[in-house]
Amino acid sequence: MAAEQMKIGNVEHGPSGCSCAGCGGTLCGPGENWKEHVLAKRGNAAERLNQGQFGESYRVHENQHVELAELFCPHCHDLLSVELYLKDEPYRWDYRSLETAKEQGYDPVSEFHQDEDSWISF
Amino acid sequence: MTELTQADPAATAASDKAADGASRFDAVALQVVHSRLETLMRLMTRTLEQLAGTAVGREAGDYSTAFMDADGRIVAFGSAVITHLGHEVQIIPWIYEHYGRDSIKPGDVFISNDPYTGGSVHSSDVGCTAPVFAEGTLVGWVFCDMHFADVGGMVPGSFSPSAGDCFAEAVRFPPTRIYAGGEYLEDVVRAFVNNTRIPTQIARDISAEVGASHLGVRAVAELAEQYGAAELGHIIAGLRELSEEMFRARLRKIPDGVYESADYIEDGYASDRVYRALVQMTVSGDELYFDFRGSSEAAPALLNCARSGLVGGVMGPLIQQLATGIPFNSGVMRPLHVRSEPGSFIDAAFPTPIGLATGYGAWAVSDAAWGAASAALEASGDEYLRGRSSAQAGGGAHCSIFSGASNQFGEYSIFLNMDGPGGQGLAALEGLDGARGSNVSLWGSIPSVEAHESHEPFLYLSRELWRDSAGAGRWRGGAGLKSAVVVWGEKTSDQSGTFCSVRNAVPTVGRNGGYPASGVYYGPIAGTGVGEGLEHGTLETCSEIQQRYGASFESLPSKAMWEGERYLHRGPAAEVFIQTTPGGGGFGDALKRDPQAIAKDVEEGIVSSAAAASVYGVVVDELGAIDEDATAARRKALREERIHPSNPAPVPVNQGENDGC
Repeated sequence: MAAEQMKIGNVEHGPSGCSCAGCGGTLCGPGENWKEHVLAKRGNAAERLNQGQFGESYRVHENQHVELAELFCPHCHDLLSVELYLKDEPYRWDYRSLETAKEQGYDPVSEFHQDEDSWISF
Repeated sequence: MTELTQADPAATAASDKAADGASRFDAVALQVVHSRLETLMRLMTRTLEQLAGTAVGREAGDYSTAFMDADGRIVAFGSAVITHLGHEVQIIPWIYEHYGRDSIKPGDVFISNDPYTGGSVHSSDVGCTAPVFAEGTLVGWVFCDMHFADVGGMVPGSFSPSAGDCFAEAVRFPPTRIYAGGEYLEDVVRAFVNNTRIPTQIARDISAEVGASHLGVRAVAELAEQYGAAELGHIIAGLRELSEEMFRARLRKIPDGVYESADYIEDGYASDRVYRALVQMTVSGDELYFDFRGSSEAAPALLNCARSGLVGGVMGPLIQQLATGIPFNSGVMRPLHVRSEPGSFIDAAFPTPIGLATGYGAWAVSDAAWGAASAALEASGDEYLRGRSSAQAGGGAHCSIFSGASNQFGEYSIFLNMDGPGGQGLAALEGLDGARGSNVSLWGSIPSVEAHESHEPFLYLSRELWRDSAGAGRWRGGAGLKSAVVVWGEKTSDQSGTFCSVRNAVPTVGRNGGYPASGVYYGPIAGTGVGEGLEHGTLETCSEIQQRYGASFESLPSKAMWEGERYLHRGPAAEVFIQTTPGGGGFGDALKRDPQAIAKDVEEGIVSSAAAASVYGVVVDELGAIDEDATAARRKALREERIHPSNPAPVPVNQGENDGC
């Protein structure tokens, strides 16, 4: 959940959750990853990209591990993001507030202060 | 040239006053010293270019220069490879730890290329560093670093996909004196050069670095004499403090939070495994954390990087995106903290192979951090910072290394084709098609065809823009290149090779709805008759050859070794070797691209009319005019396909623009 309103890519992040920057439609509530709540086409990257749509000379070598995810707004169908993932890899968060991350067990700032030697500083 | 007050006037105004309102720094002195050091970096760079032994140093831009203070902290950094900062921040502490600070004398020069002792990111980058003394005091170090075309190891060119450890990859020198108190240590240089396959060129490369170092030592010493050693130290401290304060002010404009991104690198030799560089970038007030835990374990081959590559990879987005416009020095690094999983492929443990660390492991670090930084900069809402977000530029090293018993001069040769790192498509960003280069290099430089042909046993049939290679988007990426070469020269023997590339199965990604660029491909085409045609003065381009003989194209895997088993031949039966470089990623939804811009892309040969219709939904007739009704219908159909993915819009038929491969 973002404490303040901000726009990352085609998505607005705010205290009440995420919405499509194009149409304003709600994508998810606070503390949720918007990518898990939109229209998604996800599958093998080479299969998707080598269909000829992108041109005859466009090609991606086949690899069973690489997936392409196309994420669309469920309201206006704008293309929000196109991302690569490994097969079965969960969607990445574009943004988490420090509080949300902490609630989910990730607190790098505290980790740093507790064990500075594990970090490279300059 | 960066001006000290250019980027963040408010931050600068705040920083040049102490708490009691008194000026802490002499602003004029800071600007003069900063400018002179930046100029020195350019002069050292120019020296490398003028004196280097191969086209890699002369024209490919694979080098860097730096000036560090007496403690080894970066004061000035010169073009072009940002990744080199990863070992430049480590080398002086290593020298002090192992040789003792008191052992350093005027006239010392150290050579180094060992990634595990702070001497390099990969062993092919060989550095020279020399202390600067003034008034009997050590005031700092000059450093330069350049890619050498061969540093020994099991294959010519020193990139071996099958090397199981760093011992098999290259000769590795920790920081080692080649001058001691001004005395040239010929034995040591000979020991290094003796371990390479092209000793004459490598000796020239070393001479170039020694020349650049001597120039740097003299220039900094003059600066110290002008200001006095103590005052110069004070000014340098001021520069560092100023940059730190400016960067901390910059970070405070970015919302606190965790920004996540990843990049992937395929092996393609030992297996089809794909390695992930995962980063969580945290901004908390004016502190910045890059956490790469969760990245893949080390690979069995050359795509790993040691800690020098991890640090060097992070420096890319620091310079190019987050701290852009702020004079770069160690002050900018002060708020930065980096963590990883030791033993992972981006923080590999000795003696894991790291032969192409700069082009793969460290590049993946940089591209992963680029994505996180782009999200954070967009979140800032600051117009200047939002403009630093972009898709990914065509990245990774794409190296074809040919070698043979004889070149056109009758000499053994190694041809390291560095067209890849400099010939990649630029990234799209909001408002601009393909306009931003990679985080890895401050500029992409590609040797001219003539530079290649005058020294290397190959003839370029053509080098051209690669149609449909760019990532689609509202703003499209820059196009990649494709080229076709044949073995050439009366005295030239058949040429064998080693090939290393990435972005084959993992294409260059777009941003904010932009699509990836095409993956790269390369390989030989046999039976073209091109060799015979050349003997009669006929020259065909890469596209023409692909159209006519595409069915014979042998697409090689992302890594391949021919050594001793296979060759490219010259003469009437010559094979044509095709090589491509990746385009840049697209930015934004392709269906929102201005149709007029697409018509221009089609006219200029960057996008085919088929792809214009099938990706962008813009129908362009044979005369280049936009069919507005057909375009509206096409875009509507493509948009509806998004809702009904099981009913895809038909792909337009090929309109005779097939490149054949």
